[in-house]
Formats: sequence, C-alpha cells, structure tokens
Amino acid sequence: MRKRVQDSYLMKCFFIVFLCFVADSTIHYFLPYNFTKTSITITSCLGLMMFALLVRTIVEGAERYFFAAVCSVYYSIVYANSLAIYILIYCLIAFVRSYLFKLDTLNIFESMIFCVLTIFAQECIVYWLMWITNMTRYPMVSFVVMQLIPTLLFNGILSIGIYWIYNKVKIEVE
Amino acid sequence: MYRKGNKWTKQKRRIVVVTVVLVLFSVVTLVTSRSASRIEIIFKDTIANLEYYMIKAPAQYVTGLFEEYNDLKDVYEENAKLKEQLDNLARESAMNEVLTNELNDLKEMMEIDYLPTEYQVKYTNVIARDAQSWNNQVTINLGKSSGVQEGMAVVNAQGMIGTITNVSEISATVSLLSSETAKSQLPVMILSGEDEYYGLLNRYDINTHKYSITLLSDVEKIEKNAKVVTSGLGGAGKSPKGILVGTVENYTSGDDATESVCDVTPSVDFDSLNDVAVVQRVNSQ
Repeated sequence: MRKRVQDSYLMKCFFIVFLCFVADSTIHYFLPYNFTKTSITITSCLGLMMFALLVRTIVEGAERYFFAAVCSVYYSIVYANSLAIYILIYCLIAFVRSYLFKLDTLNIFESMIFCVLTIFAQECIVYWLMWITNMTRYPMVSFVVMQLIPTLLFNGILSIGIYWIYNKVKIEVE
Repeated sequence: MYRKGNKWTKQKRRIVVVTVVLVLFSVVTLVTSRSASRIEIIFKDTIANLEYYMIKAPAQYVTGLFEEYNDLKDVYEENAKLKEQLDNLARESAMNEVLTNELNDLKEMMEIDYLPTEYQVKYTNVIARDAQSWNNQVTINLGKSSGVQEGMAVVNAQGMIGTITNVSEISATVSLLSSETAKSQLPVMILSGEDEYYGLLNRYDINTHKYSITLLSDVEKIEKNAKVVTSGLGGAGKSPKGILVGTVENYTSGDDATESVCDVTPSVDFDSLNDVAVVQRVNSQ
C-alpha cells in the first residue's frame, strides 16, 4: 500500500516537472530571443526549479536519482539538443538536496534562494563547458551582465509561483 | 511478508539499473560528442510539434489578433502607399516578362537547362528554438515529406539565415549563420563595383557581431558596404546563387603567411525569426 502511494507520488512529480518544462518552452518561444548575444538573454527555468524543490520530497534515495536521471534525459533530448551535461547537473542537485541542503520544509525565501543558486550553478557549468570545448568565445563579463543576472532575476520572480505549486503538490518527508 | 520484501527489492534494483544506464548513456554522449540517434530525433520532433500546434500556435493566434487590431489604425496610410506602388507594378511585370523570355532564349541557345540563380521557396515557420542559447539552432515544420534536404538554404525577408543540418519526416533543424562554430563553410561572393570576389563564410564573431569571411580571390580593394551574396558553388542541393548574406564592413588583406579576411555585417536581424522559407535549387529536383 505504501509502495503504491510512493509510485503514484513519483508519477505525480514527473507530471508536474513535465508541465513545467512545457511552460518553459512556451515562455521561451514568446520571450524576445537573442541569437547574436547583442542584448539581454533570459532563459526560463521553471522545470529546473520545480525539480530542485520536489526531489527532496521523494523518500527513497534510488528513486530520487531515478527521478533526476529521467527528467534530465528528457530535457536533454527534447529541449537542449542532447547536451548530456544536464544529467550530471540534475544528479548533483539530487545529491545536494539529499545530503547537504536537506531541509524538509522550506519557507518562500529559502526556496527562492535555493532556486536562484541552482540556476546560477547550472548556467555557470554550461558556460564553462561551452568555453572549454571552444563552442563559444562569449566574454565572461558580457555573459554575467547580459545573460546570467537577467536570467536569475526573471526566475527569482517566477520561483514565487513555483513555491506555491510545490506546496500544493508535495507530501511531507517522513 | 518475505515475498513482498523480495518484490520491493527487485523493483528497487530495476530503478538503480535504469538510473545507472541513463547516467552512463549521458556520459558517453558527453565524452564522444555523438550526434542524436533516429529515435531521439523522432521523439524530439513529436514533442516539438505537439507543443507548437497545441499551445504555441493558438497563443500566437490570440496575440496576433491584438497586433492586427493595432495595425488597423495604419491601414489607410498603408493603402495609399500600396496604390502608388501598384502603378509601377504593371510596368515592372511587363519588363520582367520580356527579360524572362530573353533569358529562356539565351538558355536554349547555350543549351543550359538551369541557372544557378533559379530556385523555388517553400514557406514555413519556426516551431521551436534551442532551450539554451549556445547552439544557435531552430526547428522548422518542414521535413523530408516536403522535399527538404540537408544543406538547403533557409532565408527570411532580409536574407539568408542558415542551412538545414538535420532532417526528419515532418521537421528540420536549421543551423543559423550566427553560430560561432559553423559545421560547414558557406561559399559566398562579394560584389564590389564591377568586380566579383569569392570567399568562404567561416563563422560568426561574437565580439564584433560580424561574419568572418576568408577570401579565395586576389583582392586589391573592396568597397565598404559591398554586397555579399551566396555564390551557388556549394553543389546541387545547396544554396543557390544570389541570396543576400550581408554587407562588407571592413577588409584585412593578408600576406603570404596569412589569409585575407573580410568582416561582414549580417543582413538579417536574428532576434526576430518566425516566418522563414526553405530555398530549393531548381536543378536539385
């Protein structure tokens, strides 16, 4: 009985994160986009934020990493053009939530800070990977001013809505 | 109790195995830089098309209604301008017909079937963009079923935006010319006064926001704002001749050790790419 409840909760988490990815894609489609990096670039990260909050509410450790692996592979294939670094990022977030930042209940400020830090880590890791593989020569200062800070501010505001949905969805970790 | 515990351990084992396989698959992809498999492409295209037709297209239609309402206010002035242009249209159509007939006569005399400048366009729109802004790729909703092939040029009203790099049945991936690491070089031609110079568009420079073109011809001087167009020398099925790429900003002549390089301002505004067209050379059918 307990297992069945956990299975349905895991499926609910997948569904919520999937919906957040779809919302990300839609926001991304309508936001002004900047391929030439001449002005501000904002990336919506609703799915990442929801994943970072929900992963701790999954009781079993193995299921947490399974949740991380499936969400990240889905994101990599559908949205990020098979950029396979995401699975490592998502597993790292699951690890951090399991052993380092393992607060069972978060207030709105803690969740906002955690979400912003998660997005900051992801953006920096991806930029570093793009730089060392010579995919970009985008200067770091421009990256921080034109992409990183606007993305963090935009998603910081959206994290308020994410926190509200998270509170409706989550079960308390025993 | 033992059987329930045993079943639970088996399920947990399965979850661990699947997780390890996914992580290994991802690490292999990262290390070997392998390209997406057919199943991944089909899955990605299915999701992209579903999202576009179920969410993005209806939302775009609704926002379009508001924009059209605002545009209604300018209808009278636009109408007056269009009436003036109509008067010139009849004259230009007649001249166009005369020139087309002369061209056909010359082609017959020279026994040429197709010219490199002849092409057809298929209009489409962008249905998805890369989630992260590093890859400079967009997805369009034309694929193999519409005759799209790899290497075809994609244009908008302002000029060339990129080339097709991946095609599935119902959609295709376009690598934009604004990519810092182009997968292939685009053969171009610089029209400087009465001279024509040939070159290869290598990449987009993120610092100067210009295309970097390596010149293949010996060049004495290139005028500023000289037009850069595709040369049509990429082969059948690639970009035809005469599609605008940009205008020359400056030119650096090289000596024997270094090559001559031209910086070109793109003709296209990459920030607004919604309605585009795939260019198909006539002799590639």
